[in-house]
Amino acid sequence: MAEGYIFHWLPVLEAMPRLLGGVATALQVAALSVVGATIIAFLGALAARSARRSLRVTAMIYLEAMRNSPSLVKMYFLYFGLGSFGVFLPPFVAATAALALQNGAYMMEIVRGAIAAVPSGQRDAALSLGLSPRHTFFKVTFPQAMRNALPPLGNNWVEIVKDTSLTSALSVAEVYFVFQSVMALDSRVYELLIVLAAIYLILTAAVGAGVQLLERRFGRAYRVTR
Amino acid sequence: MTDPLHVIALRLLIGLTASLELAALVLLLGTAGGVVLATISNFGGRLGRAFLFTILYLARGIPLLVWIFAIFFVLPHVGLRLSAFTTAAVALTLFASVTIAEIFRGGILAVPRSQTEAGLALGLSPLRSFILIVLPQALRVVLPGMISQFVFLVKASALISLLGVSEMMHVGREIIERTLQGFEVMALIWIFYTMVCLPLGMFGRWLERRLAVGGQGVTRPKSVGGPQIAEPSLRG
Repeated sequence: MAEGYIFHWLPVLEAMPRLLGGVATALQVAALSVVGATIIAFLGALAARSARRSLRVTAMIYLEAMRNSPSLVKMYFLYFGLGSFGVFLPPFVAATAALALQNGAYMMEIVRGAIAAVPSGQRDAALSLGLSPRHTFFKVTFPQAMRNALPPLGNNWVEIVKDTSLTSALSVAEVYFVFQSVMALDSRVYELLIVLAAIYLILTAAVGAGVQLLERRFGRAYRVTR
Repeated sequence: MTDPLHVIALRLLIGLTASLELAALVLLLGTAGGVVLATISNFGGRLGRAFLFTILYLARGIPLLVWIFAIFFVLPHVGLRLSAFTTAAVALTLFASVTIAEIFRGGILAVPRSQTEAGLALGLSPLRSFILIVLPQALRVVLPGMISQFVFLVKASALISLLGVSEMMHVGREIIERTLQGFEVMALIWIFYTMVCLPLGMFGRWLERRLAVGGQGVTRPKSVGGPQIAEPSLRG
């Protein structure tokens, strides 16, 4: 740290309401992205396991189109690119949709792998007991797959929370964007950086703790009871 | 005023070389840093592991963009005035060292303990048997992870555009602001990133399958229990 730098926390304290407003926006972006990404992930995973070749190929093309470029590209594409066709999305919508599209692809791979990891004997057993294919999937395969999928899905949710910082590129007023604008006025950069880092650490730790609770819920059937 | 497509493509490709240059440089420096960190966590006892765990926690809990911003601000403030490109390289290298250390730690764990013991029995010092015997074997296991790390870095280099370093995204945004050709520019950028990352990703997965099957006594660590190898954070 540079010599002679004196910490002043009062300006940061005064900026706290704005920063917390940014946190609220970031959480909105994250929550909506997670919902969108989850829907994409499950539809994609079903398509990737479909008997129909056209669906499988579509899912594969989607996956590769998403995971081989940064989410910033999709953000700009939705925001600037669609403008060429007269479609002008608000920054919040473009940013959230881009995060959902990008993470939907990552999560689709997780879900697909988790379903594939359930031993086929489970499915055979359920079918031979007379369960319909639908029941077999939702009552037997899916709960076990979720147990496999939860830890990596949880990692992904944490990543989405961090990725909300990217939406500042479209001037979405989330916490990193607010941080930058406060900093431009106050120049209490070290204090603000520490607060910003703490905010993100708290957010990601909270999401991580939530995931652990879910893991315990889905792992309940496997716990050894004495 | 609009630019012809080939002119846009050419400018973007020049920007892409900057992204690739940055990613390659960071991969190289980050590997050096990562090996050092992995060695520290291997020999540093409880303190070394706690150190690695702490920086890993910080690296995973705080967005990369915030890290990069911090480096961009702090370096000049302590009197290190470097070019924007070098600053970006420093920022990404610090981050990459941590994830690469994690990849190497997994690779080192995958080398059977008997290899170290054999080295010691032949009279090598612990450090020498680590460097001469364990590390080269860990390298095999580590290779696929390093390729996805490179892909991650190519994608992460896009973040640098937000701090004004001229790479593909930055060049693209500048063209959009001048000509409003949003669709052409972003479609080309999307295609260019995919052209670089898709083959690399496929190669990495192929390599992983090959090494997983034919490893000479080298098995990948099971992901049950202990921390996962850096996979989840390798995104862009």
